[in-house]
Amino acid sequence: MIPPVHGQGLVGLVDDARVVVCLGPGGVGKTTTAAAIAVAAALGGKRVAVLTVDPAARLKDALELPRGAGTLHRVPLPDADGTLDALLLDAKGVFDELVRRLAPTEAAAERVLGNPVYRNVAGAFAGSDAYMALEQLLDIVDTGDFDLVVVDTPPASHALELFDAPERILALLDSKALEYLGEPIRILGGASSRIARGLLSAVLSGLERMTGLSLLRDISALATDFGEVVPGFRRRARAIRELLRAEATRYVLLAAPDPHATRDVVGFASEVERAGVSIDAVVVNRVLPFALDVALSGRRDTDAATGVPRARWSASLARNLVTCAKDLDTLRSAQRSVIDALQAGLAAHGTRPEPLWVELPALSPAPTTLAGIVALARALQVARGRSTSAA
Amino acid sequence: MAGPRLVIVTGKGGVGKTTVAAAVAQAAVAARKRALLVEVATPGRLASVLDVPPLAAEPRQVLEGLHAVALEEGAALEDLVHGLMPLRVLSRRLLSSETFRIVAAAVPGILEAALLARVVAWLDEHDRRGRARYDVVVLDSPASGHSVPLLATPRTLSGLATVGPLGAIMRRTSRWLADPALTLALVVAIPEDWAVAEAVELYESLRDDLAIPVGRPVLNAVFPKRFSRAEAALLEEAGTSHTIDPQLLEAGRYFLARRNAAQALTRTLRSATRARPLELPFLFSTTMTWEDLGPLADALDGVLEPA
Repeated sequence: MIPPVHGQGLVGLVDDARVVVCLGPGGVGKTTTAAAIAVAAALGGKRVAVLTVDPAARLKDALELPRGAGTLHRVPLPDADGTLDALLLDAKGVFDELVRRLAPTEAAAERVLGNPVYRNVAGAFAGSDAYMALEQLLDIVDTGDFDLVVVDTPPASHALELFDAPERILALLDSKALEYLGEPIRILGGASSRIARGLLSAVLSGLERMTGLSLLRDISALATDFGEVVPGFRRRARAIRELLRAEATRYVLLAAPDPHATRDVVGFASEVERAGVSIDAVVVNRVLPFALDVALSGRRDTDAATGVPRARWSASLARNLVTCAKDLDTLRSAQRSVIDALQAGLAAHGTRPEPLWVELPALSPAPTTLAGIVALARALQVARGRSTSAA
Repeated sequence: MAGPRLVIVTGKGGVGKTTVAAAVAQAAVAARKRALLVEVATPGRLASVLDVPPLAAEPRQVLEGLHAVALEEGAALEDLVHGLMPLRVLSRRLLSSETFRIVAAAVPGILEAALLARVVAWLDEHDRRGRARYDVVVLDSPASGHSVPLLATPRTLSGLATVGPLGAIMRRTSRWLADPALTLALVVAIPEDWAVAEAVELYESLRDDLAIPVGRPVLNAVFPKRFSRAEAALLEEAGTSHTIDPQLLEAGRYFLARRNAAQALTRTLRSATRARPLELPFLFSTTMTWEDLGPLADALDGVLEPA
């Protein structure tokens, strides 16, 4: 029997949200935390969808999803009042699907999809998987079937990859870029002497020979065909931009107490702020699950074994235990100073209003099953959020 | 001097690739080799480990025997275009165009090719006396989602490119990456299921699909063995019937659980790759600097020996 999860801490924060975006550098537990937030909300009675972009498909295993990406799949949560559906992002599939949907005719879509340079140009346009994740998010939100959609974002060293994606695609579509693509010689603009043109052709044909692709012809053809799907892309990019900045969209920044990650996380946070949205919660993962408040003094070292039957107790076990405790105490101080540096860094970047601060324990082993995710969801329920200023 | 000249450190984000790459470089320096440490796509991380100002696009000596550099796609692509274009004014004009970047990105593998071409160029550099400028180049590669395409590039491109300077560079890079006397790829994981699963996948695709010489898989941040079997058993049952200082007991049990989890994953990694994992100890330290990397450098010492 899974107890109901009531709104408090992180769970409370996402209570009136429609979208929760989990952000952060790679390897900090975004996927798992996103799943746990989604599970917690589903246990609390919401109809929830979780979108993961993880190429290693960890969430897929944890949520017991079948093979294959790109479709919503119901996750069995016995005794939950709400429901949970999960979707593994198929970035390539999303873009192909968009082209099919936005192209005026099926033939036009097939021409674009069949172009040898389509995949690469599509990638350059989209920036990264980030844009595909946002496209997919918009689709899920638009179904109207869910109270809450939780998104796990691709590992990125820059938050801007995510927030810039719609702007980038709009800027490109609004610029003359497509015309230039259709006629690469125009890149040279003013430098349009015959020599310049000759050299440019030489370079481009060199690239053609290198790749074995008839690059100029393919790019030109793609630009022409792509022009037909541009208005549709423009509409969607605007919708995504609005969704990212909507009142009911919450941002959760994930971090690990790793000394080298501090700079990345603080940089991430300030980029998010610059993009015009605020971070609503910071989740620090893998924090040592207990405090060693005891001063590990010499007296305790020798007294440690008192109470244990002498016959079964060895001096070496006592020594080993004390060594473990000392090591973990060192780890704890290291984590504390990283967390302090994180808080100071985030405060200095003027994260406002102050985000909820949640620390999650380093579980051993880390959850890779649905039961493990549910346990983490319960930990979220009891995790005492605190504001950075109260620290 | 024997041993690999190019060590490529790969793995999922968050497994400590930069730390391991720095430790390999430290092992090289300890063996009196001149090393170049190359950072790709994680700006600032390496400088923070080395405790030096941000790295530049040109190698800079950061310690006795050690140079470091931050390799950036844009800069590498510029190098490539400058090499191709006979006139600087034209190459600059081209590069300043956003459209050109899209056209360039449309060429499959061009950015990756530019990065690898830069690395091989450093390996080819000589000093005034005609010796290789760097005995070892250690590449802290992008997270594994990206490192397979990166390392697959020369193979893909050299098949297509039959003429021109780029074709020649790619063929040369390809030969480098395939030669076990010159190149060694290290796949790094930490004792967590997702990291090990990813490492197995990466290990297999490097070894089987790309035929790149791969070293023993590296399992980073392994809690050390602290208890004998009998002591472990005692810890498991203590607490219910006996009283040990509860905090010490908790610490001991936590340690044991982390150790056991790591051992189980070492076995998983070993049976999946059919290679004995190289375990690097968890570092219990409040800092993580060049000095702190000593135990890791010691453990990695062997990877620099001839295959």
